[in-house]
Amino acid sequence: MVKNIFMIGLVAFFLMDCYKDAPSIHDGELTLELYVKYENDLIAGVPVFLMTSEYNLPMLVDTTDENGQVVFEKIPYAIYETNINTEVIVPSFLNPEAWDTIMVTGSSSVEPVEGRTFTDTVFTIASGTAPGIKINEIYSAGPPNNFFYFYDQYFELYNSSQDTLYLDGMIFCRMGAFLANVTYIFQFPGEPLGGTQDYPIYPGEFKVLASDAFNHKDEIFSGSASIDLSQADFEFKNSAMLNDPDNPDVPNLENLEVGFRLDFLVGLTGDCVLIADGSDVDYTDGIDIESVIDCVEWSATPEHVKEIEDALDRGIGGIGQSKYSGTSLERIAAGFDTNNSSIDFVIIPEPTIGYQHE
Amino acid sequence: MKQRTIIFLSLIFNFAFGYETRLFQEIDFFSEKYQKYDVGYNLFDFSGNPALMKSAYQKNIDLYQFSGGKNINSYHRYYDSERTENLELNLNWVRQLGTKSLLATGVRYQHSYLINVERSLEKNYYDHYFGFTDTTNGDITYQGPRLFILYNRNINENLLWGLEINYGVERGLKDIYTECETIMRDMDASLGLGYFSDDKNTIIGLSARYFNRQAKYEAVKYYLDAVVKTWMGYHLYMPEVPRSTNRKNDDREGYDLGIQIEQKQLLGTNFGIRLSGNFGEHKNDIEVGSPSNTKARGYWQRQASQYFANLFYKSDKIEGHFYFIHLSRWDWAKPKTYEVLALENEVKEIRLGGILNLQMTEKITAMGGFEFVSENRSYDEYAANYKFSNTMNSSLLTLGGLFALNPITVFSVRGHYGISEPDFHWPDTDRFAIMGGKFGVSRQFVYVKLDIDLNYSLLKPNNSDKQNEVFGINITFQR
Repeated sequence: MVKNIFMIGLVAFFLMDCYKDAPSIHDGELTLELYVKYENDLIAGVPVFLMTSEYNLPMLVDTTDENGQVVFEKIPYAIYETNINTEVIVPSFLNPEAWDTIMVTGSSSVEPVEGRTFTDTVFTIASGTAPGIKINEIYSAGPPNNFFYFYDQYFELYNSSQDTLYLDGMIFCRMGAFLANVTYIFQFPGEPLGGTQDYPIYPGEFKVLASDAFNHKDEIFSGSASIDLSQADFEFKNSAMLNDPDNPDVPNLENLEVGFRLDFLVGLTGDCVLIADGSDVDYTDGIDIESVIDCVEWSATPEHVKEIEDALDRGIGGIGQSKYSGTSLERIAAGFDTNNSSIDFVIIPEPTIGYQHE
Repeated sequence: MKQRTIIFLSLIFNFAFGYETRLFQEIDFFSEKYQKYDVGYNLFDFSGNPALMKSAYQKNIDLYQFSGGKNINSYHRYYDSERTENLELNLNWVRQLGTKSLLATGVRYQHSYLINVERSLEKNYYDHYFGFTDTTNGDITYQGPRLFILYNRNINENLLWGLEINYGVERGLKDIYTECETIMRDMDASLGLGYFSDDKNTIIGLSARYFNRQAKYEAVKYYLDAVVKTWMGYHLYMPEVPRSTNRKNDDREGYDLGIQIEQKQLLGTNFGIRLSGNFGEHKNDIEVGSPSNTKARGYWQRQASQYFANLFYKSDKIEGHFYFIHLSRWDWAKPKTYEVLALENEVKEIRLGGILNLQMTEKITAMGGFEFVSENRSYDEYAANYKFSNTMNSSLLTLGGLFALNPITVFSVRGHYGISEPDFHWPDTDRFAIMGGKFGVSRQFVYVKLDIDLNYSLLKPNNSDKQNEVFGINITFQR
């Protein structure tokens, strides 16, 4: 009897010991102190956007004070993303007595640790990546359907410069991990680097590159969902692929990779593509970074580990995008490029073929 | 342990608690079995101590019960179903194995059909702090068996021990994508000791119970934009990463310890007293992610205690009970990795009630009872900066009786009326009126006693034209 009671007591003791004490710090009481720096100087009057993908919280915004500090108070503990993209006035690099107005951009992930106050610094850099040909829109998620149709993918280019540029001989690639790994490589018609000038892209003009340039809306979906790509400007074509559709009215980007027998199709909600000037088409050792004109990496999952070099794209676009949702990924403004797809791109509810969303 | 408000509302709603392992035994003085079957009010039913069953159930029993019910929930909380249909088959056997031991076994099969469930992927969204939802409305079917076995044996003339094991499995499936599939496994084991004085007038019991439950949810994304969310409390949610399948694991583990005392005759009078005290805890780990890689999403813990006192009077023709129950419960939750208190829910509840059974003539027995519940709740969602603090009162009056047409045919009738104040999950009303009744007939055949009961209940909020109804039928064979 005594033994039984002892055993029950022992079991109860171990059970009780498994339980935790309630934390003494309340959630929703985090204070986040952020300092914003540009080239080792704290900068004042900079709007800092704070958002989290962990909760359904609205985006917060506040401006740095004269000490370059911004404080967000009474917020829940979570991983936050900060974004800065604004004009600042700084001493001129060439003439320290003069002042320049420049665009700066910065973003960082802030992961608070234990304690009621967490302090971090957000470093900004001058933005204003040189204007030119930009990958402006990526439509890859597929239309709403229940038979896994995603062959209506397209990529939209935009000329953000003041000059007429030529696509002749340029290459468009799907990338693996880093520049050294080219998954697909397709080339525009013509000779690169001014060899021919048959395919101009005028200032402010959009060009649409379709995986398959036909009317997916009518031919596959009988008028609902999907899109009409029959008027695309270019079409990806792999002559080694027997049944790759080819619209004879649309010039082709041809596959360069020996033995590759597939069309140019990318991951629905995650991948990396680039456009390069065509000076390096030897894909076996990757693509020469100097030849790259623009590069975009995107992924629906925030846990995605970046695969392309930061020098080409410091962020990841498309977080939260759903497959077969009919949504598209487009720059927040035509040609807007800070070299950070996290900032530059936004998910839009439907594709905008050859124009910029409002 | 159920919140008293919910018990009142459960007269109307069937929340299908089937596989939610809870702390403490539910104490229900208004159960009809005390009037209709050969079972008296007893410490086993009120405490769940398996060592005390032998003294409460002293005959062999074969009981086969089929229940069917339909709930029309026109007025419901956001994540509740609009209608619910329940079917249940309950088979129980109690065997006296000689004079020293008892064996009881049971099988229960439950089928619940929840119609038009608004977004919730939970059986009862409001019973969780980390509920799982998507953006679709659909019907969900839950079904599965539950088994129990109880063994109770004398150690000597004064001491008994008992062991009870419950095991259940339940599967749920939503009929629209995300076609969320739920699989729950529930197990508990209770060990008890009972001391009976030589004159059997005094009973002292000790009990310990361990339980665990594992629940797995798998929401499969098709092509619709059915965003899966995991809530933390009732105001903040975490949108899940769009992936082909979202998995949630909800593991619960807990224990409760109890002590019971009964004095059947106080100082040689017809008065007696029962006292019990329980303390228990359970902890819940929630993980969410892909099926192959779930990650910690939250943790919550409950600590609760319950004190129960029952003063009763029992003579040949009159049996009366007055009871008092004090419950206190403290829940807290924290988000995945941060050691911060995301929410607290503190409930203190007092129940006062009484019931009187009066044998008026050979053929007529009358019953009347009341219960008053006062629940003080303080709910703080720190992360969302939401606070609810209120005292909610409920009261219930029950009247009924048995009429023996002849020695083998008995009619029963019962009616109830009550008022209940809801919590913050019911935003558009501050009071419900509850009314309803039951009618039954039982007949003793040569080998079996047949009972058929019909019941109807109505729940009416004070500022809405909508009302909720419950229709039910029970068919019981007892030998």
